[in-house]
Amino acid sequence: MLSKELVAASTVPLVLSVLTEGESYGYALIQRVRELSGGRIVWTEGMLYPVLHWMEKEKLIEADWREAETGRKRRYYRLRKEGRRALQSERAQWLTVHETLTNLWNTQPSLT
Amino acid sequence: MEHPTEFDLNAAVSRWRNQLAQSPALRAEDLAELESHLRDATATLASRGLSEEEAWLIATRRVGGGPALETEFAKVNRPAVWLDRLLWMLLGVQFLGLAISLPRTAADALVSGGLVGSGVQLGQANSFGANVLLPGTLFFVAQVAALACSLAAFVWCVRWQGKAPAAWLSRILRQPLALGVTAAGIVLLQVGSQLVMWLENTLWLKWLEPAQYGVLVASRSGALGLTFLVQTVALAALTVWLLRRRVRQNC
Repeated sequence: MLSKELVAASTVPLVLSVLTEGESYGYALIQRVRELSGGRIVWTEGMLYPVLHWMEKEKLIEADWREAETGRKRRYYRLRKEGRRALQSERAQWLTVHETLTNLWNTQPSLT
Repeated sequence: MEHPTEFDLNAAVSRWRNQLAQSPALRAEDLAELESHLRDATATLASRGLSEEEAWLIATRRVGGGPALETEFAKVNRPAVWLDRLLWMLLGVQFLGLAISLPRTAADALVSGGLVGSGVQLGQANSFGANVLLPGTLFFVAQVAALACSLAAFVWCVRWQGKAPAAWLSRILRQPLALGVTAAGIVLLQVGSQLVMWLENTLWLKWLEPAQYGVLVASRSGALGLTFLVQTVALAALTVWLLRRRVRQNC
């Protein structure tokens, strides 16, 4: 439903935001975002894990292997200080776009 | 009625993982994480009433095919991918060098030995050109035949896809010991090939009169120049053939 570009652009802020709820792992992140978006944003593994890898390299998040309740190991991610700062920046940018667009759409009834 | 075979999740995971492990784009860490993800997904689906095998099939289908995954991971694992490509290039250069030089060394030695052994009097004609013509032609024919053998072997390797030599080669080359042995082997073969040529040259130098030796070496070198031209064209043609084959495969 969302364009590829939008999905790509929104991944980082979404991951950062979900991680403010607490640390999580890949599979759970996908489920949470699907739940939050009412099923409209469904990430694929091939898309998410490379992004998580990139975010780790950029030091926005950090991860380590931990034993899950199933007994197997899982990679848990959590926010870093730089990640929280990046989230603030992302939030400001998205709100700017959102406000500008809603202003336009509110003052131009022909668009609805 | 046949007894259905038990679905072994661990075996399926291993198979899936081994297949993906062949790609340089996916690090061991990425594979471990994807495996953990798949197991979680399978468990969730199975808890909703699906059999373990059904859950596995759906989970792997959702994760996506090998090529799609590789492409995505390759974008973030660029250094690993390029290193892998360089490795294959270096290996290819050395293997090709060997594949071409070994048969040719043998061909040259055979022709030289044959000429000297047959008692043909080299260098008896009046002009240098006439002297070199017959031996030169013999050398050329033998060298091109050797080249044809090398390239035929290469083409046969490409056509031999059924036995997946690439996957086998890949697996062997990822073990340090096998890689070391292969590298040492290549070096030894090249050194050996050079030694044979040097030995051969020394022998002719000792046994033949200067004029005869001159004719032998001149005709061999002359033939080699021509063979090299043929080789260049043949390799270019081979490259184009492989490229078209690859393009056809990817369409």
